[in-house]
Amino acid sequence: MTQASTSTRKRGSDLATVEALCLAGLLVVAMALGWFFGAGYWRTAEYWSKFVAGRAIVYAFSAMILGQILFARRGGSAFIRRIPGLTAVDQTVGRATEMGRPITFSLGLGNVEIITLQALAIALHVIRMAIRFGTRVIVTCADPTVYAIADEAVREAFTAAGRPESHNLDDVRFLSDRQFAYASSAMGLILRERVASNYMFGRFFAESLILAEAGNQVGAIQVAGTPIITQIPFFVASCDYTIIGDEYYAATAYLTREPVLSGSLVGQDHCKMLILGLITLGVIMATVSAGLAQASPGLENDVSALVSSFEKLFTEAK
Amino acid sequence: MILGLINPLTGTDDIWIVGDPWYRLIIFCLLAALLCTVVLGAIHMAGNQATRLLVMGCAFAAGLFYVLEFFIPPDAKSQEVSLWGVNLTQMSGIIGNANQVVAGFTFLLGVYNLVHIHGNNIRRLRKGWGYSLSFFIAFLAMTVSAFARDWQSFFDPKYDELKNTAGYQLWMPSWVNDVDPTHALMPHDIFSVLFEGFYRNMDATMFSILAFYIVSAAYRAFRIRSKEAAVLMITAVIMMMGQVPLGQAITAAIPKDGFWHGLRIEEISQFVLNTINGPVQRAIGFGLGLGALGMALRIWLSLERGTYFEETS
Repeated sequence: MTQASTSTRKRGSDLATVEALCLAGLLVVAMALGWFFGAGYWRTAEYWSKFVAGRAIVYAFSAMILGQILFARRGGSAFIRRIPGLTAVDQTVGRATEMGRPITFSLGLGNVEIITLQALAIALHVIRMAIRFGTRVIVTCADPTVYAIADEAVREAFTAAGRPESHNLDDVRFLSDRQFAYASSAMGLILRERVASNYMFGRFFAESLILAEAGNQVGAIQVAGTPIITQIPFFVASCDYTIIGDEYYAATAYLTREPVLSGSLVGQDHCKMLILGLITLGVIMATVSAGLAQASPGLENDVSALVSSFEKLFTEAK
Repeated sequence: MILGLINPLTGTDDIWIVGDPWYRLIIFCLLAALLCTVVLGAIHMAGNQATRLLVMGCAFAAGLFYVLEFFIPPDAKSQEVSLWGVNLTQMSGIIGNANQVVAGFTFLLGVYNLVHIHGNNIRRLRKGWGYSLSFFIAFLAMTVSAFARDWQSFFDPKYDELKNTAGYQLWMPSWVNDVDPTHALMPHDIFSVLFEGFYRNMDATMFSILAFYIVSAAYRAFRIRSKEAAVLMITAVIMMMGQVPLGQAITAAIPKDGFWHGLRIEEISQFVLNTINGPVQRAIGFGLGLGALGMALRIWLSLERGTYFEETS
């Protein structure tokens, strides 16, 4: 890397840091204004017992994640363990290229929300890779707003890759906003096109198995991921690779190695460690409380009060 | 006054209640339309850098509204959040409606996409063009029959009140709009035949296919090809045996209140469900919640650049 590019990168990083700090500062100022000029509820004891714990935890987690993002942008490194399902992206695109068949990417039934946006981010990574090999990726949507965003993002990906003429308008499709109408349409598409690889990322319900079995019938390599816990067993049973739990949100960080995304991932891990610590503390306190109840009834009341406030903290946070 | 114009739901009167000053609603709509025009115009006319800043600003302002609504302490009695006289809790409903309006516009885009794809299939007589033809027939049949059935209710304010009264003139014949109260459960009109008779049954058929797919997926999943598959198989057998009388009969000899009662199959399945599966699901839930929080922060603060659209600066 040349000195000039290093300098430019450092300047960009500094600017981004200042920018992010300003935004975070704005949040603090806005909150302070709200507290002082809003309703006087915050001055009452009820507010502190009922509302503060949950909001404090959300704020603390946000601060931890933002802190790690800033650290990563300033050059901090982050290790991300291997996620087999995402390592298979190269394999799926390569297989489709060799077989001369398309790839299908289902964005699920969700509307414009975090889950669908994450699915779209993964889809765009697959599409950018497929553009390099000249392989078709057919994206299917069940929400017209998601379709509009996906269509624009895919068009932009082709333009950025220098191949706007290769973009086929029919490759981003709105099928239906009805669950089983979408499922039957996507299933028909998979069977007619005899796809080489089938991706299913997003919000899925009962149609998950219908799509996965359709992919299985044509012998496609299948990669699926959803944060809907009830659908994970169906994907595990019928897909080659399944992204489980928070791997779903780690996918873009893993695929792109962007400092912001990696930093966010490390911040989330720190939050999990904090949660783990609080759970351990809660277990110890509950155990001690139960022990003291037998040994010394007087002391037990104090510890019980502490335990109940701790339980409240978690209930509020949920 | 200004706040009343910005948010018609604040103040003493509710704008949506009949009798409230109508001009506030009109001015509110005009201001909203003007603001949208200015923002959209600015996004289209500005340079790359300025557009980026404008989009970032809009995203931040939109996110900030919900952040403030979450963090600002609510009113002790109504539990609603207000800031400088603006009721944020009620305003969130208006913003939700605005989202619905945007979704309505994009629905037209979706319909255009369907018409474009299926129209091309028919025009070029691609393989399976008959299915595309059936799409157009179904689309037109549902749209025309639904509009024809409800047409009178759009324009006649007394329709709902008088539709079953003798002498009231219905605009459509009964096979288009059946208002006979004895047919309330299943009106004998063409829309009901299409929706209740065709669509619902086809929907149910697709759902019922799941039963067969579950069997075939379970067969593949339960083949013991690795240690993980073996664990899955053993757990599944325990769970199934714990749920059915035949399975429970296997360990029925162990006394329910004896020292070894924990070895009864239903006890083991409950242990797996509550002590192993429950905590794992909660742990996944924690991870997913934090992942969603991280992504929401990145999108709100425009830190996730280049993921959806390439960096242009």
